[in-house]
Amino acid sequence: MAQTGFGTALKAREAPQMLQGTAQYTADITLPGMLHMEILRSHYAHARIVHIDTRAAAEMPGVVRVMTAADLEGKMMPLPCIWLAGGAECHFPPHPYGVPGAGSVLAKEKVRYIGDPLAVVVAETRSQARDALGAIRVEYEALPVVIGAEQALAEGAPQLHDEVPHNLSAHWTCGDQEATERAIAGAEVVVRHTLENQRTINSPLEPRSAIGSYDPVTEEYTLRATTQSPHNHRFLLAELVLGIPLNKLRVIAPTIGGSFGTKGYLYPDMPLVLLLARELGRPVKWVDSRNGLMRSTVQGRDQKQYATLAGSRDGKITALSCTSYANLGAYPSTIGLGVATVLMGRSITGVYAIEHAFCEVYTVFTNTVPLGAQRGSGRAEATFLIERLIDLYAAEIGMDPAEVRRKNMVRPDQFPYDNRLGWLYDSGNYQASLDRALEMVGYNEIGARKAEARRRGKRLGVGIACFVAVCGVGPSARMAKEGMLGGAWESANIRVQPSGEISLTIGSTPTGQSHETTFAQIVAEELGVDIDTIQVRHSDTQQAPYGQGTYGSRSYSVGGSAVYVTTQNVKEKMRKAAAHLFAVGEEEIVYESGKVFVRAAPENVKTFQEMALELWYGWNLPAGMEPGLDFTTYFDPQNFNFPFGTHIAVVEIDEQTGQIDLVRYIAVNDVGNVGNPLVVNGQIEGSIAHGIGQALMEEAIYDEEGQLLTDELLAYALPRATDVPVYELDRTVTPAPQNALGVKGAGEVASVAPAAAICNAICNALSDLGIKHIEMPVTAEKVWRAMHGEANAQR
Amino acid sequence: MMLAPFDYAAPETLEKAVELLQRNPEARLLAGGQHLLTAMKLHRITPSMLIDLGKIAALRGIRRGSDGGMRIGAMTSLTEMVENHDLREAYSALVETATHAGDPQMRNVSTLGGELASDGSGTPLPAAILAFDATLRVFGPEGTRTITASDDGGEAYKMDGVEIITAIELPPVGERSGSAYEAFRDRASGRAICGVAASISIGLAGELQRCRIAVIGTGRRAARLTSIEEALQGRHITAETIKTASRASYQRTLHTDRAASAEYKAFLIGVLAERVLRRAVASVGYTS
Repeated sequence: MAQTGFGTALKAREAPQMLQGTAQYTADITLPGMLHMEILRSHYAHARIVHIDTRAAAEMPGVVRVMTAADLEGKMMPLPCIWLAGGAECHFPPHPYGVPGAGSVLAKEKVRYIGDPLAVVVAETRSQARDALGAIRVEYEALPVVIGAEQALAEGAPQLHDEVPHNLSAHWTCGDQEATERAIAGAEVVVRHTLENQRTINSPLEPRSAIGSYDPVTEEYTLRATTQSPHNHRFLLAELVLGIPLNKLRVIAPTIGGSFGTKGYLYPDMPLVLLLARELGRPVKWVDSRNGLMRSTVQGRDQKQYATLAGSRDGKITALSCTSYANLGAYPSTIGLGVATVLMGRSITGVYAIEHAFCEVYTVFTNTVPLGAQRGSGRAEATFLIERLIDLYAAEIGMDPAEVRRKNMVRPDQFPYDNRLGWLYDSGNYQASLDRALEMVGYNEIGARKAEARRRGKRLGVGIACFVAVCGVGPSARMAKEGMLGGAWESANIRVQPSGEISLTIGSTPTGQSHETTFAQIVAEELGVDIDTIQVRHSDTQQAPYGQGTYGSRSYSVGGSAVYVTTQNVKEKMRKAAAHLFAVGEEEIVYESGKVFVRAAPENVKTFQEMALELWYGWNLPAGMEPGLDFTTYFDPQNFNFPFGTHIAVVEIDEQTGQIDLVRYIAVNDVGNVGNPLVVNGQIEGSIAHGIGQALMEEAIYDEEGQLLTDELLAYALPRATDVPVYELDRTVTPAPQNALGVKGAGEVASVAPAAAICNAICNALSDLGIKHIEMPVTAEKVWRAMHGEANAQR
Repeated sequence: MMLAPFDYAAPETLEKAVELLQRNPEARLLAGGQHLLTAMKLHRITPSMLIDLGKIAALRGIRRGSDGGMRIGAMTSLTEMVENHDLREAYSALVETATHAGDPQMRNVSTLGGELASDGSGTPLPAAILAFDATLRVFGPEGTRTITASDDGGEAYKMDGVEIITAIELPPVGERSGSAYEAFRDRASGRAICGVAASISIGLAGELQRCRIAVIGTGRRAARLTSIEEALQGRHITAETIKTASRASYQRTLHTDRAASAEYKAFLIGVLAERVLRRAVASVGYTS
């Protein structure tokens, strides 16, 4: 049997169908009699809806139904929001059940961003539905528009929601404000800086889609949709949106082509296709376009941070403070508020032991697309803040930035470490990570390389960013305190078939992470069986045990741990049954490599398959033992986990044009034990590309009227293969102490450091010109202007 | 995105194609489709008919002209151009623009004629065509006619709506000639914010005998940079003369857009001009 267990670099089982185009995505599914829905989205960023005339559209060829908010009265509640800013007073649009509302499913009275859904058309074909959209006449009365979070808080700013004065959803704080301010006031060196994490547009390969169907005999609804949280979305849709019995709704997530966080949110199309399927008696399908995605799927980042770092002349950081403005967009997204507050605010101290820290976040509604998660969300903004400030501080005191980092890092003997802002860092060796990365880049020879580059007309710069990212979300009770209206555990079921084959069903839903490979590897390892005998099922609420969703880099450490515990239950039952068969004490039975045998008499042996059959027949079991091998286990972690690492970027800047070439990228990551190095490296490489995008290319641009100018890929710059260097990867391994597998989050961790590393490298290359900061995305023209002493560079 | 409905025709002769164009004023020619189909998918244009030129055999192929120049059929793919030895030897700036026009898959379907007809969409080929003083052969209701670069005050070729590009003819470049193309690209679309092509020949005394420089990205169409050409014509070539001439003031009005400001574009054109001129000179084997 080939080595296939935990830790093996197995090629993903899912890969062939993805590569060959045979994987079935939601958009590939056709149900008998299926109709097609298209959504009319607002052209105004803020306007009163005076009148919607759908009569002409209803007469168009193939049109079966046109629906506006008026048609939803009494049939559908607003979407709910289920992650508040824990501990803070929060203001939201209303919801009849008292939970925070996230806006009505189709816009009523007002539209609040371009993309706000106003009406839907259902027709025999997608083209007919689309053509009919053009026949809907909407009379708007334009209202003043506000785009930026700080502007939206100002006196006299346009108000989005009647229930939310000053557009302020919440003012959330963490840390000790008074002590931090005192420490800053008494410090030898104080560095103040304003940092902007520009808004980005999540761009998974597959836009969202949804198919609703309804069986009038059983009165059961089925939703097939791009959801990374099928169980959660089932619960919320049934209970808080449609008001139907949970037992009457089944949610299936077919193959998902990437998410980066976007598909963990409830969107209007989901309840709409279900309601329409019931009313029309035929399945209803909706598939988004790229342009629609860019105008309506949750966007990322968008925080402006006013930060202060204080320290001594000899490089010891004593205090850190941040006031941040998070732009929530027009409506609270399902879990957007927690992402913008908790995940950012508690993370600003990074890998450093900083005695006094404080962070406050204002979360504000504006006339932009709702904000949500983007891979690394919150933690990326926090890492950008501390890692940029450290470089500015190092420059201020004339110390090497690597040395400042080393001097302030949490030491290995300090774990578990309370970061003063609410995280208990579980384990780590931050110095080892920094040392390895410096060695890989050849930090001592950088001076010579800079001189060599200069002879070629290039300015070479090196930038370091260390990071720690809270992952493995999370202990359920703790998440409740953080404002989450939901649990954060996972579960798994193992059913051993009479043949000895294994059916593993997990609560977690993959969006491209290769769950079917990596989760099977845990079972293969623990039960000592061939991976080819293990089938992995998921993502159908009618079959899968419960799970809370794929986000926060939690699938493997939380869901994988549930799988691990389940395998131990299987082994234990097999050993008990074997002890009975061999008439020895249970402690005499050894389980090894897919066999049970008597320790003292190894010739008394039964294979996994034989034991499976014994338990299937149930002819000779110990008294009181139930037949079968079928276990479901729930796992709720005791703590988050805290993967970490050091990234170093090397850039060359053209002295004439300012063009930036990212020539090297070194990433040393520590995600604890690694279940599958190929899969983890894939996640790391993708994550770095995300960070490169934010640093150098990506930016959602809204004009003064709230129109999104970057609503297609010809205008929105995404990194392509030619925009990224060949990554130089390595890892250190510090096993997670709180789960038996020793694994930490890996899906998004490497996305939190690149923006800081690259911006540090650019500023390093330009440091002799007195340039301290250039706003992201750092374009050639911004560098050119900075080199020519012009504005938009901070000095 | 879904295409709006349209008719499709694939005539086998030029005469038939022109007849279809005349009968269907809303029709568009399909010559690769890399620009056209994108615009159609975005519903920026909704032609009533696509007339596919792919079946007209006379429009394909690269061959040497009787004057020692080259003739390239309009439906020749960019891949065929990039792989053609003679073009690479003598007209390297044209091959470089073809390389810039798209990745290998796109080059397999994009055609020379399609790119030239899409001047203003960011395609760099018109710059090279201008820099080589190429002649365009077009076929219309009145039969064949030729258009040269100088016909339109240094701007790229304008055609009538019912004409079809059949080929371009590149004049011979002669001894001691070189050319180069460089661009500064928009990171979203990959298209050139601006791109400059230069074609030069150097006399035995080191003087610049012929100098053609053309730019794309500054307006709706490719255009010659005559101020730089004039500053260099007949001058002895040194790094300094190239640098000075490249900084010659740019006469056309540039526009600030999302990709770059007008002043940055003006600066880039100077830098690119200097770089292509230095490379073109170096390719002759002449050390300035």
